[in-house]
Amino acid sequence: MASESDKIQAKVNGENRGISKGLSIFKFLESLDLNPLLVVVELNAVIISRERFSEIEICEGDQVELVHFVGGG
Amino acid sequence: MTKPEDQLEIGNKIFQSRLFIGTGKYSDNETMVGAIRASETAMVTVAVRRVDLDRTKDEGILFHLDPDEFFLLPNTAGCYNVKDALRYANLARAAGFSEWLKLEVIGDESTLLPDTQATIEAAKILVADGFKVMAYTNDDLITALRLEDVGCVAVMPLASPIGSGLGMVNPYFIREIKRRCEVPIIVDAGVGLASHACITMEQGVDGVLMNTAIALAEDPVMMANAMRLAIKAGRYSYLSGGMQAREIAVPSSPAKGMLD
Repeated sequence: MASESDKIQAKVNGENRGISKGLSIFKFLESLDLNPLLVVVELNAVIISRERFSEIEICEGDQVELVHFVGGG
Repeated sequence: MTKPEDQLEIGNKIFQSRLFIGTGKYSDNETMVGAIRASETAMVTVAVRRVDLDRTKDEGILFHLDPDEFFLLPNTAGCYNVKDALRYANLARAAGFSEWLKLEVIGDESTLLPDTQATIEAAKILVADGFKVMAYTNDDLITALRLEDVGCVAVMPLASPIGSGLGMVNPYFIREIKRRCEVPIIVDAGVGLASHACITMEQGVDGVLMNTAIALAEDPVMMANAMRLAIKAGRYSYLSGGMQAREIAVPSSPAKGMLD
């Protein structure tokens, strides 16, 4: 069982969220059941290319935006 | 049937249809896909939004639209300044499908009319950054010319405000924009009925982009069919060189040969 100290706080799509320490973007998307090929990730206002999803970890205080295409005109 | 010599070319890409369809506001995804297929469109627009983390599965539009089957044109809808438009444009490109973009920078919440100055500024930056920009604008000739000058691959003046369904309110200026610009002119927004689509195409423009007219019809698939036919009818009507209207009756049957 993960204790609170194993978690960091990040803002994901505008909401505070506890995330396991050391979690890569790839693993984070996996934990949310999101297909990395269909999601674009912005970390602290910088777009992260898919090739780097596995190497970049989400850190305390990070601002994460997960976006995708929806219906629109 | 599109005659080969009448193909639409935008930014070195050939489109087999002059009707472009938005994917918003449909009651369900099955209806949306049915309408898109019925329209025989060659390009559909999509928006960039946050993933809803409470119900992630099955929500993104790519679960329903195959990008190999439908050419996707992401938009910057909802952006009110250059900075946001650039941010959304880059997010859209990072999705990895293409560098094409429908640029919208809105200037007023109630009419959704464009901020033309910001649109031109954003277009200039995006074109320099390698985007193929199709720019939503109003029916102002000078803005259309500036958008062409900064390198937009198409200029997209409105027929009337977004989602209004009022049809073409200013055919004279749309014709003037078409006459003066060299890039394709795609009328974007305001079409409500198939008759509007036909009249729009009769102005000589290169295509029409619509969303609400189809999505909010009681039967969107049937309306998509109607729009497909109306776009073709309007195009052929324009190309055929219609007669001059005159406010006088002229008999169609010969005056000669009548009985005494």
